[in-house]
Amino acid sequence: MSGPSAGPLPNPLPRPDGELAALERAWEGPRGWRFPTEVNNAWIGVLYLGTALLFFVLAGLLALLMRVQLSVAGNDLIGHDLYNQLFTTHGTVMMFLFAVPAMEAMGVYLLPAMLAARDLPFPRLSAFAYWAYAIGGLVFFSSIFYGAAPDGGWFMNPPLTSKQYSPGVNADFWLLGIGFIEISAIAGAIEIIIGILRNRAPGMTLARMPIFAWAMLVFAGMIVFAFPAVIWGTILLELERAFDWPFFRAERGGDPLLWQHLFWFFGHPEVYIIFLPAAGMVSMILPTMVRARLLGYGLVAMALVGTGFLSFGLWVHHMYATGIPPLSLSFFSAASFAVAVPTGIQVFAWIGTIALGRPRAEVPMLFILGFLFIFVLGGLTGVMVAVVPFDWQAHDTHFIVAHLHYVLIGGMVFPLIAALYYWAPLPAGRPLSKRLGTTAFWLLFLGINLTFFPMHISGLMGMPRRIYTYPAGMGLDLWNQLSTAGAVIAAAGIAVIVWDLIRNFRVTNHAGVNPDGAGTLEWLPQGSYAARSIPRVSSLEPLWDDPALPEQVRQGQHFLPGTATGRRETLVTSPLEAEPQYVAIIPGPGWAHVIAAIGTAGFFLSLTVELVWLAAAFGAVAVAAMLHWLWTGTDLGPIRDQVDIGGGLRLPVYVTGREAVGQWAMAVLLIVDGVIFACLAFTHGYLWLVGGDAAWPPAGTALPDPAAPALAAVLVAASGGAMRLAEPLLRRGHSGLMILAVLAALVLLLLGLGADLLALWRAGLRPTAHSFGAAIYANQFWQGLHAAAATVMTLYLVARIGAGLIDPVRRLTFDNVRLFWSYTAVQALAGMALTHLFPRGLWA
Amino acid sequence: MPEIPYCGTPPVPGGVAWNPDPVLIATLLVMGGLAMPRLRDAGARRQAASALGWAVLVLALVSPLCNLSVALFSARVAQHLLLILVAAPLIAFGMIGPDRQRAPNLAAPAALFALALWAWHLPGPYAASFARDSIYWAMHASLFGTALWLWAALGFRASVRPDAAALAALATAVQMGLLGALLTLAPRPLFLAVHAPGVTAPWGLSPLEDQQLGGLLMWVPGGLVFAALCVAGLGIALRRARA
Repeated sequence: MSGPSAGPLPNPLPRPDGELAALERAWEGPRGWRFPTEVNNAWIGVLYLGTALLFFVLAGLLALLMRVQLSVAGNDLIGHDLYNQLFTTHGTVMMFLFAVPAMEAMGVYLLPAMLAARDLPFPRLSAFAYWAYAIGGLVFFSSIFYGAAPDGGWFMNPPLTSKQYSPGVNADFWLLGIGFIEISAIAGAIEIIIGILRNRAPGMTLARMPIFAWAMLVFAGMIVFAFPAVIWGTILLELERAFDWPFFRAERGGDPLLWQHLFWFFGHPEVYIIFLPAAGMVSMILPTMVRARLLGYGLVAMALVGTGFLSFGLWVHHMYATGIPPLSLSFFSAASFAVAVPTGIQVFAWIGTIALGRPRAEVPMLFILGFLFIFVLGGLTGVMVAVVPFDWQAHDTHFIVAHLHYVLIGGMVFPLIAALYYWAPLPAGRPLSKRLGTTAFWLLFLGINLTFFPMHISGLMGMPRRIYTYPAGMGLDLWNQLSTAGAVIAAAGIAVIVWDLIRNFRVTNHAGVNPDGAGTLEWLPQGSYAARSIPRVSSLEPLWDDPALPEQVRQGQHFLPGTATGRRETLVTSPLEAEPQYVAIIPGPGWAHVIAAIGTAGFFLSLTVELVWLAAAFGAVAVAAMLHWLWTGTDLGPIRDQVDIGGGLRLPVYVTGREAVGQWAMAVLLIVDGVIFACLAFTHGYLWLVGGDAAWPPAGTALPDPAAPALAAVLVAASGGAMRLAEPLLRRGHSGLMILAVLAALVLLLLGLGADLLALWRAGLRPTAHSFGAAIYANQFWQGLHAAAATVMTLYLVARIGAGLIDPVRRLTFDNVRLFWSYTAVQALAGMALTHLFPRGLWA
Repeated sequence: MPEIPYCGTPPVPGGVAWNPDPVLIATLLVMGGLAMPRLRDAGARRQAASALGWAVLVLALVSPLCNLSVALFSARVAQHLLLILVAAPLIAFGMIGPDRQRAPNLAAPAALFALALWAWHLPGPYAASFARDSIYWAMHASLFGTALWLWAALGFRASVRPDAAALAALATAVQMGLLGALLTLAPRPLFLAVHAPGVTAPWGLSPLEDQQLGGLLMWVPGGLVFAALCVAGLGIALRRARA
């Protein structure tokens, strides 16, 4: 086997004077009040996780309030109104503000170190996502203090959440507040996907990637496919609430079940979105804890991918009780069992790994054992509720509450705490307290079981969920008192962990310790620049296979031991074999992303309370800040020649075309867009199926004459053509003609989309009359958003051309605009086909 | 009086017939014969996969499934699934070696396969495939052809760019699942023109139940097969990468 030290190392000793100092200077973080300007993922990751844990504690306190309310029968401590807000906010915050962000935080913190990258490719995007989440999330949470918190359950089913039954702003807080935090989750997912595929250490092929990276890749891929559905659902429900477009109103051709399909298309994968990274962490921690390599690495990676696939087909098993076709129940019942296969493979891989090694009684190990116990119990009740007749009995009772908490606390919280104790030495330089950790484990383990196990029983006795009290004398008192006592014990366990963090956790910025003797790259000596030099990887546990590696890395004997351009850089490698391709310059500290985050959060929150002008102002600030950040920090061009990273490798510092990470990010974003458009098409198809041919269009409604949309389609196609025409002009350096072509493309696009809208309006079609019109105008709304984005992008592009910042070599901005343009034109044509051809083609 | 569909008149239980069309059988035999020399140098696995894929292709088109699918929408879906999820990947794996370096475009076959799948399950085009033999064959040829192209492209890409292959596979699984979902959840029968109550009733199904069964076959077993194939592909790619 050719270990990393088999041949001569890429960079010889001694290293030149000033190399390390220059690297440290490039990566020096801002101090004092400028701290928010930091973008380094190592810092953002810690902040991100800390904020997620804050939300965990806050939502936990809400749960404690509910348990106090339920501790005695007929309690009047908390009225039903506040209770509704409590359980809705608890569920929403735990899912959207704790679970998903906590996993993204672990990803952006651990992945650069684990892949031996200086950083992921878009640190400012992560920082933006973090600030948007932190600001938006805190404002969202505060709504509970003035009685404006959402109260329709975390899944917000209409018609309960429609304007008729939820007239206040409570539901809008959920739709706009959470809707935009989903956008921040997608931003994080883009960073993680491209970081994993393009920033791995040389030689770290996909088959040598740490399991956590596999898990995060599947996690981020699932976010890209699942979150668009709930974003689209959120848009529809908000359009219905704000403008009375009847998507979910049966009396006007809508269907409330449409929401449930969109929601659970997201909601079911969501369970795995938060479980898979936790499973990945367990697969990383366990080998260190038992001193044995993970059993069945390939099978575990395949199980992660398989779970991701399966989870998208199973959303209906959350809807057994909604009156879906009886035939389908048996299919989904059977298919639900299929998910047990990949999960079972992982559980057996862990058990086998434990059996092969010698377990040590460390805190992470305790939490992993606790995870196995609690999660398996949750899995067993999961098998029970996958059986349809049983589910009909247990539906909407505390049995379900017990089941989902066993799965989520067992499957996600325990592994996260194990990870906290395992990886804390990385930023802090020393471990957390073993004594406090052990105490916390026993308090939590006992408390969680005592809280939730009795709920199985009270649930089977018929105690419903989401009801603020229960009458005495029904045999429910004892079980509820046990649950409340358990909740207090569990809260004490969390308090111990918080105390441990306060006492023993200080971010000292990477002292480079490896207390447990782990084998993966995140335990290399770290500075603010991550590893000093980037080794070539030839195995899964490089530190076990080559004990000399940490010292070589620290001294700078491997690739890229300094900064080649004097700026922050990260090495970009090929997606499969991880061969070095180029040195990407990445952004340093700045205010733009913070201002953009404040603007974005302000925009959505002002809309919630219907302050439209304030929202517009916030939106303008956000767009201006983003443009400033793009103008100054991206597409720098080939600012210097190829650089030597050691071992005879000379790499460019600027690339364009398919290898550029910027193009990859645009491509992933367009996939998100495409999935939202697929949800839009699903909306058309579903409402047509529900309404019947006669309702599509409904009587008295006529589509415009086909000539008008045909003209619109020609204009849109011409717009795409004009943008294509700009490319050869760019290559030949005709800036003036290129500006003309780009502006022509914009004008043609706006004319095309405008002509279509005008034709629909003049044909008498209105969005409020019937779900047919609502679906068509939702389509128009979506196209309009793209037209607005295209306008901003075009004007930005024209300004860049005018400023001489785009030429035949430096052209990333143009390439990205062109890619977006191709997508927008195709999507516009598909949207027109959906509006005009689909209803007409039904009788063909 | 409408023409008799290619697969015959709607059968009743006990009365399903094989499809003895000599032109079809001859075509399939010639196709198999033409493929033989190309497979001479392939390994035993690829030969076996090709042979199995070809057998499934024959089975789907010649067996009583053809006749049954005149009566039942769900049988037609089963026939399609055999073609696009069993025969096509087997033949793609068997006929196209992993050694070719040219990485094909994935977006085009994925998009065209999606288009074919959705278009042929709209009521109009679906009913048209009963009215004329040429349309029946256009349906099968476009579904099988785009599926074969997609699986071949996925196979190529899995060795060159597994990330792109996984993405295209997931997108295809999602769109196929969505179509299955819509067919399952539709509250009314869409294909009454060809699957009238009198046609499906002898099989113990109402047209709506038949349609739900078809949608479910596409959604659930179809999705499971898809997931299994993609995970198996990943396993092969990983094993090759570690070897």
